[in-house]
Amino acid sequence: MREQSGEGVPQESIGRALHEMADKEQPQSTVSIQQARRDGRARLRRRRLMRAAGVPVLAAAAVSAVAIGSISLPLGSHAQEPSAGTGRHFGALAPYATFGWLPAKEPAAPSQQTDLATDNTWGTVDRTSEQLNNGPWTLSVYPAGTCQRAGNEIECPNDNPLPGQPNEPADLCGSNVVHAPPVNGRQAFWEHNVNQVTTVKNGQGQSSVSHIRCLTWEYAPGGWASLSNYGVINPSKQLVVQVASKIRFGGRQQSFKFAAQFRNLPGKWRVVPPASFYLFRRVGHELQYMGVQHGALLAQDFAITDGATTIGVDVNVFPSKRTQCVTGNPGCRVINGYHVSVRKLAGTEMISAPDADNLWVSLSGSQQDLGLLYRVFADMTMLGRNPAAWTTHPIAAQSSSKPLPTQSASTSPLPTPSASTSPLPTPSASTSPLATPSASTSPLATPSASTSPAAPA
Amino acid sequence: MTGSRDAEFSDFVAARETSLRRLAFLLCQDWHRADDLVQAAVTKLYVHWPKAKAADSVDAYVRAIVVREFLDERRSSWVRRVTLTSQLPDRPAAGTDPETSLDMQAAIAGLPPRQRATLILRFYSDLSVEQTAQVLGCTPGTVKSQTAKALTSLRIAFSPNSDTTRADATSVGSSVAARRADGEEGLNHA
Repeated sequence: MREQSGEGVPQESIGRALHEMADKEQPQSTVSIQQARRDGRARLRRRRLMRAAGVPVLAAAAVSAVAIGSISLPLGSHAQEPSAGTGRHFGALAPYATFGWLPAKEPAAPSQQTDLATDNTWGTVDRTSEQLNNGPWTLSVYPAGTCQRAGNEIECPNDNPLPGQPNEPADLCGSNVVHAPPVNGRQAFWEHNVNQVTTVKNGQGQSSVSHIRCLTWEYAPGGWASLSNYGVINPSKQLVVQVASKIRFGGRQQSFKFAAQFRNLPGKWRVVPPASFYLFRRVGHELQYMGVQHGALLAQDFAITDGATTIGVDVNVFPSKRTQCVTGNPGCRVINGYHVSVRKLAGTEMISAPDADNLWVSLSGSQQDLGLLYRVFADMTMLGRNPAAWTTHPIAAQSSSKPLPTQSASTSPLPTPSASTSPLPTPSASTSPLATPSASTSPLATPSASTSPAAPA
Repeated sequence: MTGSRDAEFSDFVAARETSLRRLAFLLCQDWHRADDLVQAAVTKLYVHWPKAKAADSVDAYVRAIVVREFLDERRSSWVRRVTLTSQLPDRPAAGTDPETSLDMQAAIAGLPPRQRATLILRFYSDLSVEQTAQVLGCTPGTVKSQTAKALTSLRIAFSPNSDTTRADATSVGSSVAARRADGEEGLNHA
């Protein structure tokens, strides 16, 4: 049963509306199984031919595309540039790229403007890619040496391939691209798409058009980035180029903040991608998602590993006040002073505290690591919802006073008695010596950037 | 060898064609495009049939192909994406408020493609956050934030003052939506 709230949109209504839409009378199908088999066999034949000829798979894909005659070759015949820094990966302690400038106001519709200063800023860091979003703007960045030019496409690694499928590359900005003016002196390409959008007014759906303008450019030798605008209003090319040219890569980016800290981890643990982060600012007693302004980049989903074991971590600043999980209920127990539920999800074990000092905290790992999850949770320090108390060092220096058992002992499915009776830790700024005032360290937008006038239309 | 592959593949697609078309229609809002999506998806499925069979669930595998085909299509050949009509459903189910139902369907149709796909996978296909992330090829955190954004958009669409700006909604509305999508998600499945 999903939640139904008087506030906002009940999720049952969404499910019901979707089923009503799907259950409408269907026109006769034009899907042809025979055609799929024919086309599929043709593709397999082409692949075999390419392999026999010794052509790499990526090139084969490009050749296949050209063979059906639907794609131009705007990238010309430039020789592929040598890749620099092959093997580089992004880290999970700070974003590699941030917006250096965005227009203060963004047209959201003919009669509306959205304020990017207060729109959500969030992003993800994967092993070989990073994405940053603010309002209609989406930035994707790949480390130098990870993307390849193949024909008219720039193909980058896919961190999330289909299950059981070979890791097929992702295309930056699609494939219908044309040359764009250089960005900071480096080659760049455009793709401009148009989407149909249905908006609701007076109970009626009204069709309109949205524009996706995507700019791909080489921000460093062998390193590629793409900037897309998914706004309703088509942004000018100058505006897109201006935003792209101000993006900051590497260097001194604002570090992620962590709302919980791990203590007494055995061995050498570190934070690794994938990670998701959100920009927050405290307004009064409330936390609000923030746009390009001073705030704290909270790492909400991330992973920690010692090389042999990996634990997924989710520290969400919106706790649940639901009370189903109470002591004595199956799957519920008290660890570190917090009510914790235990469940299995897609082959992994997950323990979660719906309200750990106003945080929703979960740890997940493999079944054999369940005991380790209990013990790691027992030694976690929750830092609450005040960004000033959050830390840039989620893994505290090792202490010898309370060592964790080795992995062989981690198969114990139950927490130790001492863990379940641990006193509630007191979250305060003083327990986090590494936390720094967020405002003074935020390079996400300079004061001048936040007061910059809107770019010329 | 090929005969067996063809027979298995044909049986599977014949059995799933209706549900795949429904999913594709929800994604693209057009039956003709839905058929094109399904056609492209099952062609890919044929190419990868041995791997699909080896996967935990062939259904999940082909569903992922359909969704990714839809999202990829939005980033390519723009001509095909501009459809001139948007037909509203004519017959809501009994027991529902027809006006609300029509509005909801139109509002869902107006969501950006990725947000719409996220909602469909979560609330039509009943996938968990993790399963949805796997289909979309993103992290669970991205699924949660996409869900939150979509719910915020729907909330705006249903707010009494339809002129509410996104800026108004993102500070408060997204917090509510995010709590719904993230914080309270944990125990809903417990």
